[in-house]
Amino acid sequence: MGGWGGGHLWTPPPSPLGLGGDTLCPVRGVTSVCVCPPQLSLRAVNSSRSAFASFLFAPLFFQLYEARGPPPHLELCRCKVLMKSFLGVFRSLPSLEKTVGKCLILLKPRASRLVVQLHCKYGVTKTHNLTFQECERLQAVFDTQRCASSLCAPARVLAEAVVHFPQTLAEVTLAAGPGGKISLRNHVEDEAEPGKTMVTELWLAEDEFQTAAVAPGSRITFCLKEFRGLLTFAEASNLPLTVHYDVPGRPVIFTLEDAVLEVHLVLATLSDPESNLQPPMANGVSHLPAPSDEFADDLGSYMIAMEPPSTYEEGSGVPPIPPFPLCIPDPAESDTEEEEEEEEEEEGAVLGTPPHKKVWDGHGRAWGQRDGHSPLLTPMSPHSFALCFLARCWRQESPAWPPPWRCWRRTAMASTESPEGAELPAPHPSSVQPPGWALPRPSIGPQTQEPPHDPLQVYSQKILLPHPSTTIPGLGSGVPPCPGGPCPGGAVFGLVERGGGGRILQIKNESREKRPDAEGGGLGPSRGGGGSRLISWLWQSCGEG
Amino acid sequence: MWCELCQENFFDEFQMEGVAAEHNEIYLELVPENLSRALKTAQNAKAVKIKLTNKHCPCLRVAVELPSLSSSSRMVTHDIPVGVIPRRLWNDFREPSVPDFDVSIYLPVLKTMKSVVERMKNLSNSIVIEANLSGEMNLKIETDLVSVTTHFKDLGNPPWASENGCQSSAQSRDLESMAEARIDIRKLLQLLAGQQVNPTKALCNIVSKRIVHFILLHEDVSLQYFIPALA
Repeated sequence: MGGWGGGHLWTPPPSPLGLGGDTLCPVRGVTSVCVCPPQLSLRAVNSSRSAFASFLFAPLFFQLYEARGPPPHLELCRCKVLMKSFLGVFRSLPSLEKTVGKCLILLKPRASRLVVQLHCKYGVTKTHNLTFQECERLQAVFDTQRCASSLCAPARVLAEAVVHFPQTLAEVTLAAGPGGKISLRNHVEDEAEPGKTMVTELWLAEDEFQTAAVAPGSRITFCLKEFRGLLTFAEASNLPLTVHYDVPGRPVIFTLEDAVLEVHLVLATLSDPESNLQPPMANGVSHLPAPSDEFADDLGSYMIAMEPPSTYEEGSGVPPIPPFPLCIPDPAESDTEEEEEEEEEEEGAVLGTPPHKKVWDGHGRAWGQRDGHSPLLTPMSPHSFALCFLARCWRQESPAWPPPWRCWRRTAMASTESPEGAELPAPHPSSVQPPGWALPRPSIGPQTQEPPHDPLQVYSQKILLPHPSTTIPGLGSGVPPCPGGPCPGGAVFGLVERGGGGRILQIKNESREKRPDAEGGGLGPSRGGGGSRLISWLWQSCGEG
Repeated sequence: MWCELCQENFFDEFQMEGVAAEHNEIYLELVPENLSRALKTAQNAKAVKIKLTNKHCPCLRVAVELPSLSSSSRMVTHDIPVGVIPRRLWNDFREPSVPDFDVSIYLPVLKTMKSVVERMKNLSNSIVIEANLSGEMNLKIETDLVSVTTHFKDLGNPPWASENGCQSSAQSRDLESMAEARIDIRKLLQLLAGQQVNPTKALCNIVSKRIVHFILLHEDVSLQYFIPALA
């Protein structure tokens, strides 16, 4: 574990995290939670290695993501947490949504503790201390590009399709039929007498899918139970679900993607009618280490291995860079600001609260009087979907810029002033706006590396970005505009300032619109947006003045 | 349980050819849960078609056309395996005849009866139904610790046309004397719980200490339940 001192994550009310955890639960067996800058990933694989799920939360998902540790070791934290314990924190999601304002996830490697702290209404704070164990990397190797067929549909369509099958059904067959129709059929074991089992078959027309690029006559059989779990999550988050599959025997990959979230579920498929279900991960986990003996018995209970995504490691060619300074207010101030903030939470995030007061030089020094594990509270209203993340500083020549998580938070912007001479690129033409998330999504498809260029050159002065929406200059042409138009009630502007030793871009969307059930904040996307959003990007250029 | 549906009231199209001209019937045996599951998914359907097919084995194919946002509707088919009952066994499945009952009485509101029986279920396994020709019915349970009786009055007795005097014994019966039968409470509860709509007519015939016969008549459907008495 070495040098990484710990990480802190603030999340908005933890339903997606809880839902993510609940979805992982059907993938019984191993779960891994990877907390590594700059993202959090939850992974699970079941004991027979026939199902693998991973939830990747980008830092933008969180209000605050801070990874600290003595440079230059930005080591990745890989740990296993007992699945039951982790899920136990997020029991009873409906009541969580009503009572919990913020959730703090704190990793203390030296104490081997994962602390999940739920800040609830009426000043109640629930702290859960989970022990974790270090473990090895857990990653299934799969490549959606190599799959012959793919389908993309709103989660609702697929959920309505599986409702026709009994809850106890284990396996379902997906097939591409004549006339472009896709069929779902319950799988009957060959050993069972044909005269005894009821067979249900459902046909979906091609135009119910957003995309359907299937090899005609293809069919695969996979476990429905695992898939149902993912469907629940997909429906709640209102994201379209993409299915990639190949020939029988090769795994089927279900994907949910968003600006801040990436979910993969990889399931084994029956290889052909005669043979038994074989774990396809046999190929995929070639570099997955054999579970050590001490965990062999705990396979069903213990898996949380944390690890970074492979792209993250491979793509950089840049030595790990220490976390850059974070501008934070003085803690004394922060408390009062937080109080103010909470009083004003009905009005949304307050202008000017983003902290610029202090600059941390980020090179391993302590945060003033704070101890090593104190959380950093940013004075953001729980209603504001405030996200700060500490992006790594990438050198200009780094080919991996922008960071591989592809999450560019966008808001519609309103201008109260014309920009001061900033040249803004034309809005990106492509984007698919998932309903409910008022966030742009990167287009589905092969991941392209953005051409590297210093995004910060533009920001040498304060500018106000115009409304309704433009790409945030310098974020790369991959940032699609917000096609939803102006956020309701929005007075959105961006401030770019120079903090000590770096540049900071902040974009704030102040929407005064309140959802009727905005009490707990909730995760905007799942509730159709609304409420105020504060988005800040903080960049620190390393070594630049 | 015996249930009869008049096909004209339910189906727009109905085509059937029985085993033979003089026996224009087909007897099928199936697992009711399969059929109920298949029909449950058809709640919002545009159309439902039921066919008897024989591909690998006799199946009742329920084809449901569901509305969808796309231009063409979704089709769901459920193949329910059925067993065809050979003609020699048809006698086993005849509609049971109405027994020579001692008392026939209209039932109280089924919802009330159900809530009463539900509470009684926690106390005892068997329940005694007794009724007389004055429109009074009692539901009784008795245990070591407690005995509970619920009395219903003014229920009314349905008039049965006497056939060749076979009902004469009932007619000469004392109006106040109760005919009773002890039955399994869970079976009674199953009957009552399954009723979602209030029937047009609901009545109960009791053959003292032998059998209780419930008849529920709806507009399109008639249901008869026979619950034998416990020893």
